[in-house]
Amino acid sequence: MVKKKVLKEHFNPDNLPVLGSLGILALGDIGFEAWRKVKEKKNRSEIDEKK
Amino acid sequence: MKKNKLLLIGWDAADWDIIWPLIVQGKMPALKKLIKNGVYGNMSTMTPPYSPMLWTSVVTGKTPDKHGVLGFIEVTPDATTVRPVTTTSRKTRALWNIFHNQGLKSNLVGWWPSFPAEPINGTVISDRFSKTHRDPKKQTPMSEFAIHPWDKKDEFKNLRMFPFEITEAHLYPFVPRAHDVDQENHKGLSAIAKIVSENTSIHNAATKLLRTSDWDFMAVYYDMIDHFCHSFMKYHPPKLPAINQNNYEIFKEAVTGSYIFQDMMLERKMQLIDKDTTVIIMSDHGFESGANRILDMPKVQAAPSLEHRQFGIFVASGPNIKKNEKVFGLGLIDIAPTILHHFGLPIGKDMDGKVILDIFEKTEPPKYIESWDTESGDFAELNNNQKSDSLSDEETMQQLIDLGYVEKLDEKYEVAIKKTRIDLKHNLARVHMGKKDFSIAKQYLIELIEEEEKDVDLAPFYMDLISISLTEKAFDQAKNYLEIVQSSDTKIKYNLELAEAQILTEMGRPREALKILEQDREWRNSGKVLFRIGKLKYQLGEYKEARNILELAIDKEPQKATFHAAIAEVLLQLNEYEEAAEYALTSIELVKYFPKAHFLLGQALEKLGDLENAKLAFEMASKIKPKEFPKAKHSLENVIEKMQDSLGFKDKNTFKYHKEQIVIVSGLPRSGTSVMMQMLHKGGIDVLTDENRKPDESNPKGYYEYDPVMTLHKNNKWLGEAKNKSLKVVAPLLKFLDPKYRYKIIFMNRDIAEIVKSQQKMIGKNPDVLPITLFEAYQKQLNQVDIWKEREPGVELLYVNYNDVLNHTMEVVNKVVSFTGVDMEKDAMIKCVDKSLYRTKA
Repeated sequence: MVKKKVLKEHFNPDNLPVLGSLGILALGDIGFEAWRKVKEKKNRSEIDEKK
Repeated sequence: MKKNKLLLIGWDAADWDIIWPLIVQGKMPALKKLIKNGVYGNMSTMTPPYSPMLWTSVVTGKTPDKHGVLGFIEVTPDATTVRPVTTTSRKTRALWNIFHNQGLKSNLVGWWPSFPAEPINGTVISDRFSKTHRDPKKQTPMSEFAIHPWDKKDEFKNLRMFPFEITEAHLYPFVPRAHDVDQENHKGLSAIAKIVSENTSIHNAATKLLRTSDWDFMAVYYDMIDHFCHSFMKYHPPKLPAINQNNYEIFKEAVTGSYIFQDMMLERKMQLIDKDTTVIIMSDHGFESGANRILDMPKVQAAPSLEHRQFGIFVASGPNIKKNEKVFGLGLIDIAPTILHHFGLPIGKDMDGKVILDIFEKTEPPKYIESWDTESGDFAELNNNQKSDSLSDEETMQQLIDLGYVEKLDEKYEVAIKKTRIDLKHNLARVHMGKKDFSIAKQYLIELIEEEEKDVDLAPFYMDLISISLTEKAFDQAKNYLEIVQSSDTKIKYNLELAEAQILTEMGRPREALKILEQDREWRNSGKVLFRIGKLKYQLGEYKEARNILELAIDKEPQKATFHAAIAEVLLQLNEYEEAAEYALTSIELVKYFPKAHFLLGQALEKLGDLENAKLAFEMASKIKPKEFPKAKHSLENVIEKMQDSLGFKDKNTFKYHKEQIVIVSGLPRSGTSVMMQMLHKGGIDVLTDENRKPDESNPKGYYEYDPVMTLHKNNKWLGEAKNKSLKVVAPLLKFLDPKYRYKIIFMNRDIAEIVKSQQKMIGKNPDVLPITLFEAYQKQLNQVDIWKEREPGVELLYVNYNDVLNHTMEVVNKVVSFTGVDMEKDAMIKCVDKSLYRTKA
């Protein structure tokens, strides 16, 4: 079941789960762009680790 | 910061039946807050309920025959192929064109259809912006016409989400057991990935515009709820017997999940607007969530739309909007006029909708112009070059095919073009049916049949012709069309039994209709079939059974206002007035502007002696559809008369002259109707007669008949000729009198044995042999007249005994004169009675 969260209080662009959440998507452009950055950062670090 | 802003949010297919329980559980707090601070109500959809045409009606205030968007797909202007519907099909100006002309700034996100984007003052993120590739791993390129202004593309292109970005964290809230889904055989998870990613793209663009742009009007459209419902409503509780238990357990929370996620998105948008902004949230139709859910989709054009329900939602909140009130009688075409009025702009007289004045705290009377379409100036419309460009879109087309709205295109484009043209013409016919323009609808349907295209199933056109014929009371024609469908090789599983029963009912053969429906009930125990059976039982006077069956129908479909009204009607006959009033009130609660329910409430209250409230109910009923529901007007007059009468309650025969009344003389044949006609004639009331039937030995002073009466059951339109006159109508035909007129019926009673004897004699048979069946049939007819007169508020009926005419003539004459309310020549009336003609005695 989709559970509601108080988005404002929990949103910290530097500390988002890599898997994301509906709460982050519901935040719209700000949440989405921040989450993509977290994913990209993780991808980069994985590539760096492999190197 | 601009004042008086208006944000219009479209939630395709949102339905109160799902929303109210979620609000009660605290799962849609954003919408709950808006309702508490604003108004809410049902939004009535249109025919046919196809979303692109409905959303275009929302922003134009016009019906689809006027705005031109007639389906999901269209033929390209060069007639070489077909494509998903675009703005180029629209042939009238939308709200944003008008706002552009008036110097207002609009933002548009995802509106269906809004591609190609029009060059308005503001930003258009068209419906193509969010569309994803059918291969979830691929990104879709963004077309040049998907955004206006195009130089903003870099700001928005990275806001598009793709299905391959969806993670388990996004899926689990909808499908907590997502890991149990057999993805080889069930495409549920990939469907969710596509829907959620596309709607997130729309939401991202909307929130960006809300945060960063200045605007007056903004419209955002989401298809999430509709698409979740089409994919997962079958798994929504309560479980349907045919649904696999495992799939039910896995997907049962998907539909409610989509509503909750939509509410989360709403909460965010509310954070981004100021308190001076007015918000409207609405859907274009509802979605079946009960016993009527369709599991075996028929093979008809846009079949999934059969799952759409008549009522969607409407919520409005803002500084000048009333608080926590329910509003009634809303239609999709009312939204554009209401929004124009909000901005102080005039409404085009060519718009079909009206301003919903009820929602405003304070407001001025609406202003009007002839048409926005004939106004000169810049309306930011697309130029011809843009119109003729190729706007085909493989992804959108594929999505429409996947959803079942569009059939897989034929490899030969000429076949696809032909099918599309036929579908659009059929849709246009159905639009006219919805508008009650039956002659135009019929013309299109007959043209479609006469085109005799190969491989085209004609059954849907005939089924529509059956509906039209029934409305127009052309029952023989309806039967002919039904026989054509019955003998056709259509693959569509229509409920032809229901259609046949309806035709038989209308043809006055209720017992045959009942037999068919009772057989149908054995395997299709639907609310609709039960309702029809209940109505027939009522018609046949089997009230207790009617009540039981209608209660079963209500158990199946408790939201049907017509079902509640039907049971109220039955309860009135059972003298259960309080319960009748309760059912009528429930019916009104479901559909406020339902004249029959108000009428029944008035009848129940009148019987309970509450004349004040009965008057209010009749007033409401007569106001809603005065032309279509004349009984309410007559009841209102009756109840006012009762209230004015200082003596209090009197029965219906209060003997008052009614303007343009028709005096009917009725009875069984040979009951003395001709002598009464003669008395009225000599007394001074004009007679409507053609004198085609000449006097004879049986009736030497004339019959006073009028030939059209014999076909009254087929055509009663001529009855206006009888206003302020008298007319002879035999008892069995009384029920076909047009209820829009006021009737004073003088019903001649005579011993039935005498009547039958007299008839036997007249036709040269032995008068001493009494046919029992005829005797019983006449008795039944008399009983039916007695019941019928009680149901007809426009009818006053006076029984006159034939023997009294002969033996107490003066008394009868006084009674008749008083009853008609007309000053008549009593002496002349008395002289008409010739006792020598009383030759047949029992």
